[in-house]
Amino acid sequence: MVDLKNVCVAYNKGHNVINGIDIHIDDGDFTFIVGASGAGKSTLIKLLLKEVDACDGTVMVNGFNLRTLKKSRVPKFRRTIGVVFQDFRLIPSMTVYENIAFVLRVINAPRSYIKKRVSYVIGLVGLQDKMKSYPNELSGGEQQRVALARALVNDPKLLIADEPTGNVDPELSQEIVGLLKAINQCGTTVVMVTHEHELVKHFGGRLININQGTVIYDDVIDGDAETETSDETI
Amino acid sequence: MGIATFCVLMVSLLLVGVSSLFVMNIEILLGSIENKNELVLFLKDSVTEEMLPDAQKQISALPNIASVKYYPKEEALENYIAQMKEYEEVFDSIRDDNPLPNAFNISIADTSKMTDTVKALNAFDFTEKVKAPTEFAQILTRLRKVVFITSIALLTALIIVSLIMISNSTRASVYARRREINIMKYVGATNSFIRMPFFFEGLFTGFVSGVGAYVVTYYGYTTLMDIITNNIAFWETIGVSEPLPFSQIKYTMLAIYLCIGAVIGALGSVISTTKHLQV
Ligand SMILES: Nc1ncnc2c1ncn2[C@@H]1O[C@H](COP(=O)(O)OP(=O)(O)OP(=O)(O)O)[C@@H](O)[C@H]1O
Ligand SMILES: [Mg+2]
Repeated sequence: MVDLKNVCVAYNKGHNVINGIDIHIDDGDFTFIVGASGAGKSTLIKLLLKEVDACDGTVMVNGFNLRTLKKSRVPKFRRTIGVVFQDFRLIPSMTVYENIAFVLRVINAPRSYIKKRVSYVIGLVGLQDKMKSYPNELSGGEQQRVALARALVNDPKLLIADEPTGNVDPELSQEIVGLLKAINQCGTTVVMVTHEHELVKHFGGRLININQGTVIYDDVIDGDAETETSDETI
Repeated sequence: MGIATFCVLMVSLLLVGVSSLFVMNIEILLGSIENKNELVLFLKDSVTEEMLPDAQKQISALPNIASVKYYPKEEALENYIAQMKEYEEVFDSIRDDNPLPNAFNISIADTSKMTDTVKALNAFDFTEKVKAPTEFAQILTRLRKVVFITSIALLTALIIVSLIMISNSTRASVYARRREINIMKYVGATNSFIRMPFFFEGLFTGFVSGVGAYVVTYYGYTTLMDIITNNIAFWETIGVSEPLPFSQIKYTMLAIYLCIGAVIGALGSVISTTKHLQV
């Protein structure tokens, strides 16, 4: 659950990058965020991760009030969120399995659980055969799926993806969004930032358009390929 | 952590160890020289045997006096002759007509106050002359101060250099692992979890450097002492006690090395992670 009310963010005093935004996202929603370059999309994501702080308004994410959250409680909050980055951010010296298991080790999960859970999410993104490969031995799409598995492994309530299709060709983009949709079907709230309007048109869903730090459009649109996708992904 | 850090830390520790060994030995040396620092108070010829107990009492009553011993001129002459065996015949002739004065051998408690004591002794009416190594005592006192201040300054500088080295190398390993750290932060790793490996890396480097420094000190010092103590005449010539044997201080040295090494290692890494991790 995300609830932003009249939120402002400023990197430099006096200049608001996010300027009085109201966004409410319910649990289980799938939301696209679009907007021109420099509109403040990444800043919005950073706000949801408490990497930047709001200078005004209220910021509630997964039941945590980020404006009053103590520094020492930030790790606990972040464990409720999964993030996929545009550039994957995999660790080159670790295998696919280790890249994903690493997340659970960081939060001191028991060994037996790590083994079970990591195998499960690797299966979910269809990379069983690549478990022992290193990131540089994978294609872009495969790397993106590892990143996705990593974001999912901790069973987050909210999955945030900042331009996960930024560097891949259109076919791969569709594959990735298809995966995100599937994850959403299983009950995870998904927020995806993109500047590819075609993708949004293709899949449909809630669309929030941001311009110069304010919401200029927020509605659910129908996808033109709701039925097609299932054929395509086979 | 790099070999360079290990080496620098080990050399720093080594310098710390060597300078403290140096200070300890200087202290022993100064102590033994100090013990020999006896004043000799020569009595006037007019002083008779009956007056001696009273004179001794007056001297003992002064502050800073450790002991007073009467040193009759006959004894002085015998000692003198004994030191110059070859010329015994020459001195035999003066046995009957001893030219030396009677004296008191006085040892004092604090050499740094020797000048005052000498002044007080000179004021007695039975005093002919006081022979005192005042200048030597002053030099010793000053030398001790210089050694102390120098070693404190050296220690401070070395500790700062070591801290900087450890911090830098921690920063390098933070930088090398910035991807991992960044991801750790996003998936909810606590600050202490992120810091832990750097902390232990620093601690470990400090510890290993301490062991290294100890081994080098052990071989260096014992070899040096073998050379010196095999040459007993050397110590007799300069008339001071022998240097500190390593066996007597080995556990202290090891403890000092390990503690300083570990503390510097851990502290350096903590400083660096606080500064560069922005956790
Ligand atoms: N760390 C920062 N310090 C100062 N200004 C920043 C910082 N990060 C972003 N900005 C500014 O904030 C504004 C919004 O940036 P943001 O990264 O949120 O844009 P965006 O919508 O993600 O753009 P893009 O589509 O190009 O990724 C930009 O004008 C940018 O210059
Ligand atoms: Mg961006």
